[in-house]
Amino acid sequence: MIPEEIENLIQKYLDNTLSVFEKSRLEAELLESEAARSMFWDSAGLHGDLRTACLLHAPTSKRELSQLAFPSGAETTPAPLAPAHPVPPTAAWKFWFSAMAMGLAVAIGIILFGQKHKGPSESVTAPIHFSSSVAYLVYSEGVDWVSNPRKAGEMLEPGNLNISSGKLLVGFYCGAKMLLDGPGEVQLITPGKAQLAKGRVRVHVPEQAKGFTLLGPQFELVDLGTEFAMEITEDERSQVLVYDGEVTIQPKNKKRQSFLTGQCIEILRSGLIQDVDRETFPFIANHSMHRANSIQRKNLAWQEAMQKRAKDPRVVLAYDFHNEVDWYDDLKDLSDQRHGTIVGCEWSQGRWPGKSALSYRRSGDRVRIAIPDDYDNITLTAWVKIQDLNNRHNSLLMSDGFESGEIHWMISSVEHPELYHISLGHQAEDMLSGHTHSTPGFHENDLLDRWLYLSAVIGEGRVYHYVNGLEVSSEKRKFNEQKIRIGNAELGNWTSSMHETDTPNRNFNGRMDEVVIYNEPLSAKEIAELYENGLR
Amino acid sequence: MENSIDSDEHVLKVQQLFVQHSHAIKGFILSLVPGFNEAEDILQEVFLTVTQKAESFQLGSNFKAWSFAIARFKVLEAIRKRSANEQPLSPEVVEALCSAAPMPVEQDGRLELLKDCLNKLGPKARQIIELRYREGLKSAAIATQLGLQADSVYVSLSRSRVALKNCVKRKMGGPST
Repeated sequence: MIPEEIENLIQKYLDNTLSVFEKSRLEAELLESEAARSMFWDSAGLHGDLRTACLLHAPTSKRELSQLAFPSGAETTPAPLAPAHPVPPTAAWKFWFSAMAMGLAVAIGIILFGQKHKGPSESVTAPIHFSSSVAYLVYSEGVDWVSNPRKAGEMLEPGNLNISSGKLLVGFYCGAKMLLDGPGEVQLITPGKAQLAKGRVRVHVPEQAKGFTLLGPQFELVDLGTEFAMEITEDERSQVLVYDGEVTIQPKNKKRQSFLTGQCIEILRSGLIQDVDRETFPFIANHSMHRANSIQRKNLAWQEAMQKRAKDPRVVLAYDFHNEVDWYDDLKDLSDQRHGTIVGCEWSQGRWPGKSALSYRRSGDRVRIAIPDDYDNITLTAWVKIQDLNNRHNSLLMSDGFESGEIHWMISSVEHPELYHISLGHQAEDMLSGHTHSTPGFHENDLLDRWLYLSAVIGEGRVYHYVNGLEVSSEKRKFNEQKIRIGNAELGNWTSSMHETDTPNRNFNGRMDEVVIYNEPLSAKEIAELYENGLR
Repeated sequence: MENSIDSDEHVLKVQQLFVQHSHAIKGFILSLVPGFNEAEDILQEVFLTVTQKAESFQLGSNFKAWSFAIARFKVLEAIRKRSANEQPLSPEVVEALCSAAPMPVEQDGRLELLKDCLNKLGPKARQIIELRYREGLKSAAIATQLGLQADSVYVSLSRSRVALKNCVKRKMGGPST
């Protein structure tokens, strides 16, 4: 093979455009010829250097950036301009350099931490997946697709979205949200850039997506936050309305100009920009606002229901995981009797957007509670989303030790490694005899990654387990005369009262966003209702 | 107690060496795994292994040789996880290439030279290089964005790279190809 041919194949290799045939030709050559290997290192080495050089010497001046957008030598005005969009690798490099500057120890901690939750086994066995998507389809409403129909929730790769009617909400990975009010056609380019071919869009650009770029037929718009709309008519008439914040527009071969809240303009084909009457701009309903309103209504209704429930005299404790937390991490009891203490844990999203949950991830994460009273019967309820079941016993609510009357509510895998039982242990005699009431086995996939409403009831003579309002087991109560006592206990973990150090972990791995305990057995009907009311 | 402080300091020094040489290590990885994000992942794994094995590295010996050996292992590990048609190059070819890899040289100002050479590219070619290497776009995406044929983007990229390679070589005083 002549050197030019080898070079050509190496170049294709660097851009991942080798055909299967070309790849095998290149591989054969690299195995056979020392000259080919030497050429390879030369050219491939430049590939790495270029990446480093381009990231290190990223153009920062306004002029350099605008030349990248339209390399025509157009004069530009010196307004501040955010980089096109935050590219993850750039951020990674910035990180490496700030690591050097700010002291390695902290930075390294972050790297290790970031790696840790992948789990050590994953790096050995998990396959690597590739995704070239840049956005996802948040929802669609009454859409007729001209070509290539997509569904809500689908990840979107670079390419065309073309609809003849209806509405689409596109969530770019940079954080910008674009509502396309059909008919219209949008071309997705990167996680922070798109082109509007025709139609009208309303775009919301939060702080983290600043720099989101929307190309028109003959111009480039960069949003500096927070909301604008653009319309391109069939005859390529281009208008922009800035609802809020600032955008800059650069027509091809012209200066970049800045526009602020309330301005409504038309970009003429000549590249001139002129003010137009705001009233002529079509109204584009703000669906994300509408959606936010419906979520807020849901939240208010649910909060009201929780407040009411907390007044039920049977309630021993009611955590909604939805309140402001004090500096010492109290978890507020809505019945104002038994506040919990959060140890570790992180806040994350609950059953619906705007509802918070407590996320347990590390083996030390827990909520400590104290319920000193004795009860004849009890009902335990919790909304949980289980991330992983990596312990033999995974605590939901567990009394510290094994004193008389104490209970242990958990998810355990005891008989068969692939089956999990929700179980409730009830201790009869201090340290000596107890009984565990368990459900039949569940497969992991029944339990993981979804919100579940779990309830366990110790009633007169019987013990019940419910999942999502359905009874999954009913068993004779073993120690009918034995009172029930929770005492010092933990949500999502377990502390042995003996303080042995060789106790295997029993931590829960997942989220909790509601826990309510009653001192009476709730009926199957009540539990089904609570489940129905707790759905989003 | 004192021992553990010593050992922490040793690990920290090894990690500092890693940061100092991370450009070169990443360049090596990118040669064998040209995808930017995947190379970044592998670089992180190299960092973890360098940290784990820091004890076995003797300060003053050749860090580049040591860390490149780890990088080579990590690259092979990553490549073997993928199906044959998803491997950029087969593991055998990577082994053959590594045994012929030029000994890593100390920082030789190559990046500065490359920067000068980049400034000599024409505006369109420069734009395409920046989109590819700064924004990390693939040639198809660059073509979409600039309204060009994918082929012409590819041709531009490959010509620019050959020109840049020769330019850097000239500046370093070596022969160009």
